[in-house]
Amino acid sequence: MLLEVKEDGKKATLNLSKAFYPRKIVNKALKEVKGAKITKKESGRYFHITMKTEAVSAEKLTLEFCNYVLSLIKGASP
Amino acid sequence: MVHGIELFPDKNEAILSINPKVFPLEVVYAACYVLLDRAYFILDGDPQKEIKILIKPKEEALSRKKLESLALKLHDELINYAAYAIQAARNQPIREAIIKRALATNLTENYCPQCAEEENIKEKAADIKMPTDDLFIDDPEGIAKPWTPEKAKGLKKPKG
Repeated sequence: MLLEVKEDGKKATLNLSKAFYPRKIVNKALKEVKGAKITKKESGRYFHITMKTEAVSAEKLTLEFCNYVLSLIKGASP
Repeated sequence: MVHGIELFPDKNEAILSINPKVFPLEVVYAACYVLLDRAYFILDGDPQKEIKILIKPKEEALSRKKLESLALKLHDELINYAAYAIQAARNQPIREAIIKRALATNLTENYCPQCAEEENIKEKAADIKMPTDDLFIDDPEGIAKPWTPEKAKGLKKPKG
């Protein structure tokens, strides 16, 4: 499961493959996220990013974060 | 059902599977970037064997047909950027040659090589400082005079 949503939408865990999402860009994007409690863990192949928020849907926030990382990757590439 | 596309209308998501040898990773990023305003994309799989793109439309509860249409739209963009990448690779030597040529020359429309050389000489002459001291020298024997052909009349030419 790439995206898991729990606690009635207030907590979402995103699993990003290290093969497609560079560490540097993921860390850069995480610094931009505001208004949520973020936890980042790593396993062998994935980054496990958990976002917990009361104000908005954690699922939407996580998905927007994923798109933001993609836009940073595209911007970084020649 | 289209090969390479799995639809999950109950979850409002689709998975597009592609061969990374046909569509390199850069092409995948570019294609997803174009459709960022319409859907969320999560990449997974093996970059060497099979890339899986999870597509979650931003619009809620899309029908099966619209979900498939979105996946096919992404596939179209993959083809578009793959073609662009191939053309860019073919044109790269020509582009580099054009840019090198443009950067190497610094000529204007009214360029005149002789004028440029004269300007250069004038600039160098302006840098030369002439001595301001009096150049008059003593000439007790009267030999420091300019020679003219009239003064040669009556003189014998040396032999040899």
